[in-house]
Amino acid sequence: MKRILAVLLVMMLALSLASCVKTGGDSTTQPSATEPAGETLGTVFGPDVELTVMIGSHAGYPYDENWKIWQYVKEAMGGKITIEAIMDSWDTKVSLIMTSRDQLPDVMHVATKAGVDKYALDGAFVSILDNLDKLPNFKKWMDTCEESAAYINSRKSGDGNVYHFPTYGLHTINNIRTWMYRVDIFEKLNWQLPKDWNELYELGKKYKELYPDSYPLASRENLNKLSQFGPQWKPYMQNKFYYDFVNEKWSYGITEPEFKELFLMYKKFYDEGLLPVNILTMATNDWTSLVTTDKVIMFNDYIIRIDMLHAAGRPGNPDFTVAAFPPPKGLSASATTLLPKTNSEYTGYVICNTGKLNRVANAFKYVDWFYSEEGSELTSWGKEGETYEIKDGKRVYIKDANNTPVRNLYGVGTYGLYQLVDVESNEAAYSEENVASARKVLNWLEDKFNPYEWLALNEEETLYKQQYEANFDAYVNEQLAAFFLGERPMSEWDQFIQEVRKMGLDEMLKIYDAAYKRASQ
Amino acid sequence: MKAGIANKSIGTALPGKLSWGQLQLKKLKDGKFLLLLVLPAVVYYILFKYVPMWGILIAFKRYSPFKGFWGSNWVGLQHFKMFFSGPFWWRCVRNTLLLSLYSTLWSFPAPIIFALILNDVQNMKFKKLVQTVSYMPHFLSTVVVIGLLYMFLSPNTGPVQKIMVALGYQKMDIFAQAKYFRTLYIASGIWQSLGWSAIIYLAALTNIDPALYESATIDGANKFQQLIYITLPSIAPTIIIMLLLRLSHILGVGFEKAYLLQNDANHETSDVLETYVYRIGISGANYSYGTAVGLLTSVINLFFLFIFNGISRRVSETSLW
Amino acid sequence: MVQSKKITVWVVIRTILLLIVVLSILYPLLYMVAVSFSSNHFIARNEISFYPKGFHLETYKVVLKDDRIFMSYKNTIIYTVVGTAIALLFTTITAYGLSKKNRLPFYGVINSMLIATMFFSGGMIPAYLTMVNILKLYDNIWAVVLPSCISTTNVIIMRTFFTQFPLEIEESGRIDGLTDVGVLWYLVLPTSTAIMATMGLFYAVGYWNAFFTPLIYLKSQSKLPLQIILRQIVMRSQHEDFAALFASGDKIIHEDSIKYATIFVATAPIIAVYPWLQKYFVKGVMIGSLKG
Repeated sequence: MKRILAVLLVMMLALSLASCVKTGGDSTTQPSATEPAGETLGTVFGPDVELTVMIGSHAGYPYDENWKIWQYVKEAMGGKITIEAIMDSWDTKVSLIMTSRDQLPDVMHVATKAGVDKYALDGAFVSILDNLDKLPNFKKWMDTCEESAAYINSRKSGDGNVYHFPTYGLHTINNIRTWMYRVDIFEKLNWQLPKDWNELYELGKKYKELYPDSYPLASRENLNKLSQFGPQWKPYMQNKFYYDFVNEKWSYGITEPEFKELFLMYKKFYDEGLLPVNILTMATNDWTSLVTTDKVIMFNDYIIRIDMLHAAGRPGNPDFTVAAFPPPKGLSASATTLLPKTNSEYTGYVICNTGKLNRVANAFKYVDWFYSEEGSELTSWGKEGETYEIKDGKRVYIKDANNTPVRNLYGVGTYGLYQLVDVESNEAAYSEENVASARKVLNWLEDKFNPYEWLALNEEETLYKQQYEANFDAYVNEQLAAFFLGERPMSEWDQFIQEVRKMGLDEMLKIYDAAYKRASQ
Repeated sequence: MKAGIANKSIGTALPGKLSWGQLQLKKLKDGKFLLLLVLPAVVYYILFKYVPMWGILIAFKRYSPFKGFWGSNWVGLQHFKMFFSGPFWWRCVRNTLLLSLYSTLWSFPAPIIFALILNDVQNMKFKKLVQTVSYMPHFLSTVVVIGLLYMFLSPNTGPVQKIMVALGYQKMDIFAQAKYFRTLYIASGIWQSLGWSAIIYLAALTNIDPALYESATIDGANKFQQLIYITLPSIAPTIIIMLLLRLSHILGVGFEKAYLLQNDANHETSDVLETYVYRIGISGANYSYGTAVGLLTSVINLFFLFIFNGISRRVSETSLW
Repeated sequence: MVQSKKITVWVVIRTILLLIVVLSILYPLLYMVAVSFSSNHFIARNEISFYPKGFHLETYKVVLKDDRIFMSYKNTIIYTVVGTAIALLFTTITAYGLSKKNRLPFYGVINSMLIATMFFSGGMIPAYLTMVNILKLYDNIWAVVLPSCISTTNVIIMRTFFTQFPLEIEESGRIDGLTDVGVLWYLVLPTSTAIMATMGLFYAVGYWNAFFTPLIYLKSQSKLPLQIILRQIVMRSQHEDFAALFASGDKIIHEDSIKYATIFVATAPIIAVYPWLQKYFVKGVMIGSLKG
């Protein structure tokens, strides 16, 4: 019977020990700050430095520890770099981690400015500009790149500090979204591209008559897509908060009469079968198979999807071709033929306030490396003969037999692996026809970003936004879906706008207005 | 239930006139090893159940992890006010109650009926087969059940929609429609628990004295009369206890299933208190607000528990404590 | 009860109803298996109904080669085995202690303390903060195993079972010099295999199917259990792209067959085991609900 007692005691002891050891470990295993950081080895860190890097993992190119670019980074860093790749529900995971300082990684690669602002004012991250002495390479970039001031300014948080490292070099192709069409089908039918939304609708109708099981105008991303159409109906219009540069005031897209016109048009597409019945919950793969089986002929999406669609469609149909076409003009009085300016990249590293000086110092060294020549070169291109080669005096990536995108192949341009990117390398990741299309689209973009993406709110405003906008956005999304699916009659639209106003919309607009004025000074 | 949870008769069970302290001392000496056996559980319950209850206090603070529990400011009832002034409080409460109510309405009688039918089967092999098969869904995880549901009802490749289209119905995206959420939730719930929940009723049915039926048959009662006058009254206590147990968790509709079946388009009916706490409190990093809403849930739950228990005690003299 | 053998209308209706129940449960399984063995061509055209078309095994090769599935399977097995073992130990000793109502010191306090948690809890967020900040349980096996290692309901079921153990035997054991721990170990447990099996099954199924606990308490991809990976594969959200098409050799595999094959691989062990444990868990449920 002593045996049992022993078992019990050991169990309980083990449990309490397990938790003690975990907490005690952090403070003792840290190397001292004065240790020469591995310079003799030619690496950033000495062999006993440990650093945890938290990154997202995109389902389209899930993190793979064998990616060559990560291996180069790890080689160059030295030390022990642990990558924590978050597969899904990033917001939830970060929120959970933020509840405990012990769980913080050393650095995080955060995809949105809002994702940084949410925690920045609580003291979760370490200011960049106060620590420029620890960031020699970043400082060099600031001093040499003309646009750096604008980039840094757009990363300011509400307390005036910058926590989010700006990413540079992805503005010529990444994140550009546009209208695209099936070139081969248009040629076969000898059709002209639509100039306005009426023609868009007519072509959709015509195609639907030819092929009743088609959904000619289906785009992904449910009703969020309306933001991409906004400017075609009213300059700068988005479906949520946006700054109206024409009238110089903040607005909430759905309250605009032009938005209602756009919404009605899109609803007409849906009601008449030009969009699939499950458009609001359609998965990307479902949509891809619609495009590759000739069921969709015009859509709006990221320009880099051209390569993905070609890869999916050409094995079955060698003529399969997708290209961008100029945005069709909206039908409202203030219509334009422009796309919202979206060629920004708000992903970047932040340094977590782990409360331990050594760890923070190492984190600075880690991120600063990405702005060094070596870092920029290795993350953009990799190594000659391994990931790229020189052809006709130009650098090109070495591809495998299946023509796998270099993202999936080497990890080029995946989360955590870009801060200072060689523009050329970024374009080299895509086919020439894709890049050519992107060049054209750059001319169709509006001239200014929606400040909502980067606007810095102060602590009080952030609190209000955080507690309020979640309810608010959820409500608008649901009601829009209900109107769209016909569960709520359009006759109640004005009532809906009033409901939204009552939920504190004007207060939010005032907040954004004040914050924007502060930022513009 | 009653015998299990009631605990009033400890002192009186022992003979002799000892004071409470003396009694405990005597028991301590006699039962020290017993105490040792339950000690881990006591520690466990304090750490895992009671410390979190103390954490409820953050509902009245603006908890910031970087300021810590003590450093965060008190805000009083601000979060409760926010909840009740927001657009969703009534919807969350309504959805939770209705989902629970409809679930009870449909999935509570189902296993009883199933048990009655199954009990009637004389072919033991068939009975055994049906029974064994019916337990199976109970062992599948929520993720698997919802996953299967998604795939079966998918507008593109699901077999159900194929049949619907063949019958002349329109293809539809059933998951994006708020009006079907409860149907999906409850139907899959019945599918999953039918056989399992029937176990207890089957047991109660086999305990009925066959002599009752024999004499009823002799008296000329038909099967339906036997059902009404013998079978149902015999298993009524079981039914009542099960119903009480069910109602005692009226607001606990099960986070996982609602969460997995939920999407932006069906929030109108699918957003229940627990998913709301998760979405706003955890995903949205409003820890204190989420805690406040969670606390409300617990309190309402407790309220209903007392009410149902009181009713039951009066009506049937059966109660949880 | 005594009936004639002739087939009445009721018997026909009854049989049909029961067959519907059986089919509604078996058909999804059958369909799942059929699709997982079918080729892309037939699935894309929605032509599968009862049996595989274009039979091939490539899907399972892909699934079984998938590191994520393999690793999470391993994790789930570890969590289930360790969790069930701990849970059984804790539940047994607690239930036994509580079954000696008249002899356990502070019985009233302890019993109420356990029961109260069935009706009131701190809620999701305080529980999380306690686990992570106070108990320091996060992103490791204990964070998955410990939160659910004593279920009050199961303690009550077991306690009820233990109260039925003949007192005289225990008394004689104690006269022979055994402590309560000894009585439990040498006298009670050997006769309790049925209830142990039932409890073991309940806990094991719980750990095998756990979703919420690992969802919030685990972070590292390498520690995630099967259910989380299953959700990532089967119910990915709409905005996500999936890594190209699954291809194995020159065969393109339909996403659906990957999903079904994954579900099948994940559930097969439980489906294979439960029929053999039937008599135990039926007994367990009855003890739990009738006398608990």
